[in-house]
Amino acid sequence: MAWTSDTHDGSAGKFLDLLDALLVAAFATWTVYDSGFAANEKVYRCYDAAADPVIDFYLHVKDNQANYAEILMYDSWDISSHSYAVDTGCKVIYGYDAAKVPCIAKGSSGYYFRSSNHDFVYIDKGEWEANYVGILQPFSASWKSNTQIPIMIVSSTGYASGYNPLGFIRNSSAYTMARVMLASGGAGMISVYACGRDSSYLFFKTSDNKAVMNETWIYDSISLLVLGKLNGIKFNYNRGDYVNDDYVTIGGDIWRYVEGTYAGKYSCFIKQNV
Amino acid sequence: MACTFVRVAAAAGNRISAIWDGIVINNAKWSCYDAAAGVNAKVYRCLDAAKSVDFYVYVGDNQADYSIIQLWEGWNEPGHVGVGDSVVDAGGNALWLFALTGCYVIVNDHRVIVATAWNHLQCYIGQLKRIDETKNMPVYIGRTIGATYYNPLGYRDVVTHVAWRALFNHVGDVNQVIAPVGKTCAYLFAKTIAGTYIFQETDVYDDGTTLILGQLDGACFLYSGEESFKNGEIISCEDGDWIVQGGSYSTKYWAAVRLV
Repeated sequence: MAWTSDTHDGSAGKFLDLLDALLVAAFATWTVYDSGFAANEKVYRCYDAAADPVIDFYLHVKDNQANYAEILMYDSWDISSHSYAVDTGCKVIYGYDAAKVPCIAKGSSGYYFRSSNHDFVYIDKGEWEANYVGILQPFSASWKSNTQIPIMIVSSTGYASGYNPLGFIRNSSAYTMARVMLASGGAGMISVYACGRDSSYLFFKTSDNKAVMNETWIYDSISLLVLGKLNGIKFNYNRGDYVNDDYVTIGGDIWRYVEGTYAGKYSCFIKQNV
Repeated sequence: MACTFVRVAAAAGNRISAIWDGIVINNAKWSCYDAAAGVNAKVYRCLDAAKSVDFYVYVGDNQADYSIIQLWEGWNEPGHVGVGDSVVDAGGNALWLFALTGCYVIVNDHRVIVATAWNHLQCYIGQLKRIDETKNMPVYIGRTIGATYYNPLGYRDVVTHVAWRALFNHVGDVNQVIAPVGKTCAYLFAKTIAGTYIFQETDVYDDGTTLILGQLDGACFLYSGEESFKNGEIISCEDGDWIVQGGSYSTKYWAAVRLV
């Protein structure tokens, strides 16, 4: 588990470099599964046989252009054909519609990157967009789903809009997208939302001038069942109580504030060390 | 903490005998402070000096079905009158605690919750789990007058139906409107993919400053979105049994209360 603050120039391949250095080199659970592409394209696997349930998902990252990377999620991968192995429907390949592919802005203004065994958060400091890729957390040690629930809450083709995905958790036109690879009943690529969405009353400042940071619950848009919680993420929706890059410290934990650059200020907190 | 199920007859005086004298004052932090506050009226004190808790609850039970509730900063027992600041109404509407037929009464050192099978109403009187435990900030979350039975703990301060009031907020302002974080949000769900439920004690904020004062102690605000609940169902969770109620109004305003 680590929090990194750094810069890159936003050119092709830089997002892959980051994933190689900060995920693959740092965690046994993350590997490069398929590097046999023409240029600036890789498939990463997150695999943890010791987890209960077992975690196993693949990220196809297309980084052969400046300023953003496309990122697709699958439940399997065929390394020989460099393609999705068996289309079970358990994938995340678009948001609002088929043209709105998942994207992450990776501009030259710098980034924060939070890495861990089963998820990562990438924050672009130009657009101030926070993206979450990985596993939804169970609520407690004794509560768990029978299946893994990988999720992507990221930007889409409108990655340069300044809409902060983790403050605007939904499939919103071209701006943001939020889907799970596997949801209730085994359904694939289901849209998800944050519990408490659309509420302007998600206050968090406390009377002692601190804050409460309840990790955000995610629910399945079809069944309305709660699937789990985001690891170290507090969704605030449209509360613009701070400015980008502010932080609060609670019990020794730093929670970084991100609200995007869009006027709507869709904000969230990210716990730096999880 | 303790939860007691009691059956309460509707006639005047029965809420005092069954709930307050019969259950609440069994907790050492609660006592009957004025047993002669009026006909079928008594005043109860909750005192825990070490935790900055000290407030008085006037219970006027001289009518069927409900008691008139008032929160007081102090009470003159010989004179049988309140002293100092108070919450005696919300927008001019008196505070009514309905309690008849079967009721769950959940008492701990600093608050009382009454959840009644009659129209499925939940009332909360006492302290939140306060952010700042040096501040004495008792609250009343319950019915006001009227016959549209919104469940108070699942709704918000709309004075003709429900009051969410703090006697004091964190800076001492009196009779302050408070509210649950996420009020009016139709997307507060609790049923999980595992078929279980997760109830989270709800943060409560001062409506004026919007600063969070504390959490509902053993209660979870859910508002109107969840459709899978049934009034009065008891759900076993990791932290005990919770009763879920939504009132009897056509739109249900849900809340869950932990029965321990």
